Amino acid sequence: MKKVLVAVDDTKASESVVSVFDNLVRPPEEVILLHVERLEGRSLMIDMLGEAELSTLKESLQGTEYKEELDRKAERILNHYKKKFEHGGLICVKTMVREGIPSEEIARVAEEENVELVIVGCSGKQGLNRLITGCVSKDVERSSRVPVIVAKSNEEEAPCGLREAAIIP
Amino acid sequence: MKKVLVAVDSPKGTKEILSLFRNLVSSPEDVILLHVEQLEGNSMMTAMLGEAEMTTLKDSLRGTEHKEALDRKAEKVLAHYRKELESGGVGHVRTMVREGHPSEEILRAAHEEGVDLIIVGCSGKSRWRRYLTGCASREVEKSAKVPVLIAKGNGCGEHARLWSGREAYVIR
Repeated sequence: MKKVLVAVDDTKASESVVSVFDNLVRPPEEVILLHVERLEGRSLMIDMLGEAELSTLKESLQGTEYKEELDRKAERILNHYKKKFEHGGLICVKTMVREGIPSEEIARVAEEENVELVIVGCSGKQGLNRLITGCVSKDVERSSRVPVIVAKSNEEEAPCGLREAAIIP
Repeated sequence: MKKVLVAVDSPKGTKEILSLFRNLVSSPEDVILLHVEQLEGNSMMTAMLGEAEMTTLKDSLRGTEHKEALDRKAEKVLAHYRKELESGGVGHVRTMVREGHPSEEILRAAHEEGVDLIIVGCSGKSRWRRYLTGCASREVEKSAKVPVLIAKGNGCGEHARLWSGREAYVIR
């Protein structure tokens, strides 16, 4: 395997991507570590922005303290994972920062860099929370053209599905 | 890696799954091939059935032609994959047939067998069909406790991107 794209953010879920390299996948020649800066924070507005508005938002944020804060955060996250991967024996780790909508940027980078596999963490969001704020792994899974591994953290709680409610004990 | 569960539905995804084993994942000791028979066909009713009703449905279908057809299909699909995987030099292959709700049975089997990785195919259904009939890979991805690898076929994802809501707002 040649190239793998690993998308990380500051959530605990991202930590689980490290374990995937332990024994599941063959060691790739090159790993691209990607962090996507969310300019709009956690607001839902992003789904309603077109390309034009998004680039306006990008421009108006350029050079502001907020953007610098995001950059610092991105660097911190990427360094953290880079160190972990290199410690685990992966040689060629390239880092990359993008701005915008995480799932779209991940899919775009995957295409541009021609990767063979995309690895994302699972947020473990459930029910309403997932419905409202969305789930990056789900969107990536849907729009990606290459295989996707959704890594899982160990301490996740058992989810409560809708169907369970129908079961009579 | 020790055990991998591969959920298969139809022979369509053969190439993708084989190429996964060739390039991506490290060779496992054990491969469990699982096919889940959907007793109720593609109807949405299954999501509304509780355990009790599902058992009744299973009982009442036993010995019918419909069930036999399902069994034949299961056997055919599993035999096909087993042959392909074995000729591809993938470790020890075991097959398994379950009945019921695909995503739930996949999760249950994964839990019972203590697998390290679940591999599912991507149905490539469009957004609306997906909302209506559901998508096993998403359900599995959501609730599994071990990593899930979603294999991709040709043209998979294209349709989804075409219809993702945001695109409608893009001014060209």
